[in-house]
Amino acid sequence: MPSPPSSASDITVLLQELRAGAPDAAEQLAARVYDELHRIAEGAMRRERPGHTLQPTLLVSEAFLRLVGERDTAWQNRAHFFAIASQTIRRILVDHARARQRVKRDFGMRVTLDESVAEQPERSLDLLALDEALSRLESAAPRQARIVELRYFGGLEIDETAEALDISAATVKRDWTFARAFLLRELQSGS
Amino acid sequence: MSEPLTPARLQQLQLLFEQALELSPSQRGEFLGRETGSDAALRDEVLALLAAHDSSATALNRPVNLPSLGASGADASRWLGQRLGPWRVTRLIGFGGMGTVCEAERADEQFEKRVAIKFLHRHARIPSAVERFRAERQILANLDHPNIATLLDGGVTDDGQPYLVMEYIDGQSITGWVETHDLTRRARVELFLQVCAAVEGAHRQLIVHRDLKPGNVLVSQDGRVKLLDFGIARLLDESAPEFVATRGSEPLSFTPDYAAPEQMRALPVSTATDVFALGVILYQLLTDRLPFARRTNPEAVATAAGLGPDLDAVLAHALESDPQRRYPTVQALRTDLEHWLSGEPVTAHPDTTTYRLSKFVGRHRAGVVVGALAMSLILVASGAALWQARLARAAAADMREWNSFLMDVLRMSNPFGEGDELTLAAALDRAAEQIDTRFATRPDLSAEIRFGIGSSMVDRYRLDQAETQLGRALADSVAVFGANDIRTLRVEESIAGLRVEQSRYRDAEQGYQRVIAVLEGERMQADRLFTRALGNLGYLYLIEERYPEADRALRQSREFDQRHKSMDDLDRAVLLSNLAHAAHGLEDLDSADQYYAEAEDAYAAQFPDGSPDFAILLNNRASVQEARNQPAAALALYQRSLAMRRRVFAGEHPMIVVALSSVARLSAATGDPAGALSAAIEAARMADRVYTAPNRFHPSV
Repeated sequence: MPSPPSSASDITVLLQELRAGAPDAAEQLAARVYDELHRIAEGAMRRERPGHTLQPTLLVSEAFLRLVGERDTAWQNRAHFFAIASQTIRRILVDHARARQRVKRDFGMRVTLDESVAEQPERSLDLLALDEALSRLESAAPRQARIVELRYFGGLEIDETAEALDISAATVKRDWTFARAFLLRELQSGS
Repeated sequence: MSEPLTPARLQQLQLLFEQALELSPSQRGEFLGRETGSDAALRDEVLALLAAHDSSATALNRPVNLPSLGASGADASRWLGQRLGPWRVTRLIGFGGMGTVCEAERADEQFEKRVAIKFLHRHARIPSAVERFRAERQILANLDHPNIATLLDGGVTDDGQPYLVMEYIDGQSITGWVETHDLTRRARVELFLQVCAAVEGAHRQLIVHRDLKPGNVLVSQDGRVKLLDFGIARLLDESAPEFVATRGSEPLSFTPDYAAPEQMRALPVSTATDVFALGVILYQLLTDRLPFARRTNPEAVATAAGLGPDLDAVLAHALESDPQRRYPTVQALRTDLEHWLSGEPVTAHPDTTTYRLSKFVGRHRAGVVVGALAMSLILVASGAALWQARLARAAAADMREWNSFLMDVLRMSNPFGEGDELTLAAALDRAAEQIDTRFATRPDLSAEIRFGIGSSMVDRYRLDQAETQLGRALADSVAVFGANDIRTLRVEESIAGLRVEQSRYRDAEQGYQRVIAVLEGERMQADRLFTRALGNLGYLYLIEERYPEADRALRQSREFDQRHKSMDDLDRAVLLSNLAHAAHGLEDLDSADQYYAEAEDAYAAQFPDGSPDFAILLNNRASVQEARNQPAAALALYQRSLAMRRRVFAGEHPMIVVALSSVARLSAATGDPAGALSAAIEAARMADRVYTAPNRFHPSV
């Protein structure tokens, strides 16, 4: 049974509460976004041939349109939404990777009836290792980690990232360059 | 990292990283040494960050691809332990874009049977779609092919989830298999032929796969290819027509690497769609990479595989963007690969000079040097200054290197390039005309080149032109290198071959004998020219039916080859076959059969899939068996020969008629009148067709 559609006004309210600093607004919002992203992703996969992959920026945009609607153009809402969506995508992917890893460990993957995921160009990037490295970065440099989330998991451009975090594009650029080098190094030393 | 990562430390790292990034690499070390002082760990870390930044790593350069988020492990686990019809789900095997796959066994334990159950994504949870799903399932269940995983059963669960029950394959994806088994190129092509066979089988039943990719092509433990998911893509599409209709309006996805351009444009698919995917898979098997970098444009052109003109041409033909221009059938692709395996011309080629030349070099093994020289000459003759420069430089280099370089050139040359569509003969003629002007001051080079062109002309049966070129090559060579130089002797040996073709057997014999005598006098019996001259002299005696002399020369050739290993494998196979022929002529039937057995092994190693010469050898061996009064053994050999001919000549051919009549004759002799009759009828009918056209085959065939 499909869950009842989230009302756009609910989401707008949650976003406003979030800006006002309401304690559990972020969590509620994330839960909604999580569901919605899943639904959109499934729908997209259903429409397309198996093996297709999605681009995060389109996924997030669609989630925004469906949850918030086009009428709410308040940039802060949009920015917050994108931040949460990017974070959520990170979580979904990491959960997904963990589940896959469990399956591999428990049963062995002798028959792979579908390797569409394993064969993607991203295969060289170990998502779980990236998540760990990102958490490490987060502990010492939360802003830089957020930027990675928005850029990598949310598919945002430099300008959009700057807008979402309310910082200058130059800062985003500098932080991103550094964070990328940091993560690459962490990933290299881990392997 | 030893130092704990505090915000302060990280800030410090970032600052130094950014400052150092502004400097040139050579200044960075000094800058960091100054700034970090005694904190060597800090300096090393910044250096490591800079290295990571400068590395060619592309990770994180673009946003993550989102795999099918719909299928999660948790989602799949709800099927564990459940019963579906007679099947009990025992464990989760995997999941992905298409659905979740579990292993199951028969719950009623009527007999031991492991199966794989595929729970499809909820594409078809619509009543009408479920109906269609059932109908399609029946068609797929009829698809019975040893290389296709059988669809055993299928249905819809109580809550509307469609599932398929398939043969369980204990195997590995084909790309994984070739990697773990470290297969040679030949072996990879051979393995791929199994894939073709499976797809052909399905196409005969009008079922297109649409989603061929390594993950759907498994290889079982015993090396057998098994295709998965045949027809399932169609089943999904057809069971969800409303989604098909909206495709294209939704920019949420991009197409995977194996889809044909028509699929990417949501145009109708056909068997040619599978041909394209097969092309991608073959490309990947042979090069370990994909033909397209990141494929978002349906018109993307495959990067050259760099596997030599033949395989490159086969791949380019399979990967044509326009389905009309691709191989029309999988069979056509397979046939070309079989030709490649047996060293015959492939049909995929645009008819270019480069191709014809390189193929020519492949067939006439003894003429490799020759072909390479001829090739270089054509490059020069066509006026490419660059090539001329290289040619001049190479003249000083070792001849062997020069040849291998040219072979490389030949391989690298783009067989798809435009340019003059010269025939080989015309190219050689043009090249020959250029020699006087281009190499007027270099008789050493012109001698080598004329030798190359002249020898190729012998092989092409253009005996007059060969006479001219080889004659001048000999004169130049004697003048520049001396009469007893190995380069001069090579020309003489080639001229002796020309004399054989001209039926001037006395001159040929004297030519070979002089070459042999000089090499003996110079103590150069270890040179391959020595064994070749002896072998060719033996061949001349065989033509003249002078069996004792043939036997003597051939044995001597064999002896020196055994001592010096101076022959290549193919020459050796030919030598063994000639020895057998001589022994047969001497009526030493046991020796003849023994040599044939050895020759057969040698040919089998060279041509695992057979070749015309190999088929002739089987026939000759059969005639020895006939002479030994072993009709059953003879018949078996004739039949093998016939089967090989059918394989190597796609369609009808005089050589098949010959083999058919032998089979008919021996079938009658061994008490199989029915077999004799059917072979005879086929031979008669085929003869009517193949002999109506003038016989355009070389007399030696």
